[in-house]
Amino acid sequence: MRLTAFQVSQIQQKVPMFFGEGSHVWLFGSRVDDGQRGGDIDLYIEPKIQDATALVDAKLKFLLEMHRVLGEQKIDVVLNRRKHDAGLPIYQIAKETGEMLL
Amino acid sequence: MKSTVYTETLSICQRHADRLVWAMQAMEKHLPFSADTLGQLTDVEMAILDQFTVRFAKLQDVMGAKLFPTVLDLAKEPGGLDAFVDKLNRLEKIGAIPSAEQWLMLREMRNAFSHEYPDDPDMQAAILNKAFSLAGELLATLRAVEAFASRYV
Repeated sequence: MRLTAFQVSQIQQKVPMFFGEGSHVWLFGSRVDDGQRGGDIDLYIEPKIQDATALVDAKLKFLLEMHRVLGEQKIDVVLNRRKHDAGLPIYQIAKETGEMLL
Repeated sequence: MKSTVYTETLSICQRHADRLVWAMQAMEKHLPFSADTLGQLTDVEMAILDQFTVRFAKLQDVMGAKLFPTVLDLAKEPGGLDAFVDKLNRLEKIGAIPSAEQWLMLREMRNAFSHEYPDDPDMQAAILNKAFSLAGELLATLRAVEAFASRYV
């Protein structure tokens, strides 16, 4: 995994702050591959908050905060608010190939 | 020279703003969006929503990347503000934009469009509702910048 300890701790701290205690987050994409360099930080989040309007707000504020603490870094957030639904293939891929941070 | 660059950049912004306003007015009767109402939109209305997101993104891009630096230049604010956040804070301080924090939120909104949640129409509706309300703030920011810069051109 190519994140600094600070980046990991910020993600672990801020995800529950914005998406609710009990939220889960996985890092996936190029940042889990130690053989690559750079790249976006791709996060897959299963949020505790389920209300769509509240989640849109939470996502924007979370990204604002992450950019404030981590700098001008491209961060992509995929939200899946229906845990029990198989949903899109990307959800499965993110969980299977990614690394659970919380 | 500086003021020509500013005037040209402003007119590009104004074109995007005009198309954005047109799209917003055309969709006004559907506000607020819901999963149900989104499903009932015609092909033309879906195309208007695409225009909305494209013009929002372009206006936000041009303002941040081109208009803001030319306004700092016009106001003879010292250069050397490398970080974008420093530029924003300076613009807020001299009264050219309402809020640096709000601008950063508009930037997050612009980037959030790329995720369309094809499996989750409630999320699509919530994103569009938020985007329509933030589009009002984007347009208000353009008017504020224009009013501020008018004393220099």
